[in-house]
Amino acid sequence: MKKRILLVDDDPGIRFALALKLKSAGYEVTEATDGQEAVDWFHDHSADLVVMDVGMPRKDGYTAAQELHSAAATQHVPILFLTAQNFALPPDVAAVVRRHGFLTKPFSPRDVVANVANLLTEA
Amino acid sequence: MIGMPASTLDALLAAPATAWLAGALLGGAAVALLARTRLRALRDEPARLWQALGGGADRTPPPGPAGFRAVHDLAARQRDAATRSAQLQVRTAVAERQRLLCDTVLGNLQDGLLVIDATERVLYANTVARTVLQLGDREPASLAETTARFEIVEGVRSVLAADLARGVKSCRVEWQDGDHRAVFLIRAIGEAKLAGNRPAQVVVLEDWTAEERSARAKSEFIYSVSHELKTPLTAIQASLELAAENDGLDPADRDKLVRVSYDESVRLSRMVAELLDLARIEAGITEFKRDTVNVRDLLVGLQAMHQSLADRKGIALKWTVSDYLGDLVGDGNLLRQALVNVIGNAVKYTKQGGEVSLSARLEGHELVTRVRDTGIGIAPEDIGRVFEKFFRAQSAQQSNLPGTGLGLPMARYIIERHRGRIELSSELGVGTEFRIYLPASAADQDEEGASTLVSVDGAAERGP
Repeated sequence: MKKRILLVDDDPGIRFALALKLKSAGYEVTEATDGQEAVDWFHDHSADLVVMDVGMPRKDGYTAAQELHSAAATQHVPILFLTAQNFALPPDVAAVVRRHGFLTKPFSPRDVVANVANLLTEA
Repeated sequence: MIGMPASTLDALLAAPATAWLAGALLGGAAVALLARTRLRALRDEPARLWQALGGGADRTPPPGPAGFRAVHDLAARQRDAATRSAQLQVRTAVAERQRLLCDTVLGNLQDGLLVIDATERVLYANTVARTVLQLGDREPASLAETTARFEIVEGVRSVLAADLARGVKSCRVEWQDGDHRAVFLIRAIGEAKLAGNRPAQVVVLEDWTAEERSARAKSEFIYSVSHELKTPLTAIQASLELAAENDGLDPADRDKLVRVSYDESVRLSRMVAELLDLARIEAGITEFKRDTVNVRDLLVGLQAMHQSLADRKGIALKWTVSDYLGDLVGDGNLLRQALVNVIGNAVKYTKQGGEVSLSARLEGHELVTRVRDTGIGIAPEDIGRVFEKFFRAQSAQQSNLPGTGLGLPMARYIIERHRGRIELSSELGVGTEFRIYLPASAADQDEEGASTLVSVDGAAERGP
């Protein structure tokens, strides 16, 4: 059974390239354009991992991650953050968000696949 | 001969010597009587004068010369008192003026100023300090009795406790109150000796909230820039990497990867160009020229410029430009740029069958240009943010049309540097209207133009 990944990014170019790469690496990929869409999607779906951009309109990646990890159904879903800044998780996010990885832009699709595989093995 | 009728005189003249004698005696008695009356009046004179001078009724002066001396002394005392009172009035007026000056200076200080003694009694608080301590109209009380923020009270206590001899002691306090974040620097700047020789300390409360906010805005801007530039860069690199390495790639996917890279690179270069333009203008590197701009020609030219795009999209352009708009003094290229950013948005976010209209007319001393579209509109919560750098309204993002979020900030900056203003109203799904006001008084155009240049230089300091 293929692992399902929710790919959340507001940039259509990044979404297209990463979805292509992840699919060719053998994952099922669902796309969402911002944090709110991601949170809503989980109401009646599930995924094994979330690849989440941080700077997004409506709801940013950190807020969405906090909400997902505060809910019983989604609190164990690992999250791979894509961020433009080389920062660690803000303390209030780190307090809630458990398993996560970090990639700083610009990154290679290979790095994404490697990090995804890594987070899924830990699970 | 007092009180003697003529018939009595005749009788006297005809009278014998004894009668003369009797008459003389009678006359003498009358004179004596008169003198006595006058003398009595003179005796009462000091009392009358005393009363007239407003001397106390309980200390009526004695009759005779002593009384006159008393009256004289009273008058002298009153004269001295009047002199002293006049001097006092002058001194009071001077003091009042100095007090007013102090109040004005202290009241208009940006910072709070407190004079507070060792028992934490507030001896003086200027307007700002009264607000910070939340004193209202009440007289300064002790520090513990004020309803000031806990952080402020503790901050003042900590600087009061410091040993002033070791130099200026300061402490920084901050708190968050809902969305409002406040930052204060509290400093003890010296000792004051007040009435009773009680030592007191002068404490300054500096409000750093605005400075903090501006520093924060700067770092947020840098964050935004790096984020906004890195995102298309990531898309380009990722797409090209995939297109280059993957032999088993579907040709359609490969084409799309290349197209994505191209689109993102166009977006990236446009963003860099706009960012540099904006930075140059804001930093004052771009000099604002003083062209004489024919407004009608400018606006009609802009219609021609957008016509082909509007035709392709199936949008009507309706320009209503008065013939009597006169000239504007300003930078023609930058004003065109500002208008292009506004009109370009209107055309971009209006769908087929829609309409973009522009009207321009003089209203008083202002040239008012309205750009109205029947486009996607802007949600109420986004309207206030469209002039923020990199901000794109949700409706604009959902439209999937490319944009950098820099066009409107640039337009506003250019218009404000021309001493104008730009505002908008919008309804989601109905359309948007931008109104641009520019000073356009033909009579004082030259002077206005000159002062525009002056304010241009001054305004450069307001940059982020």
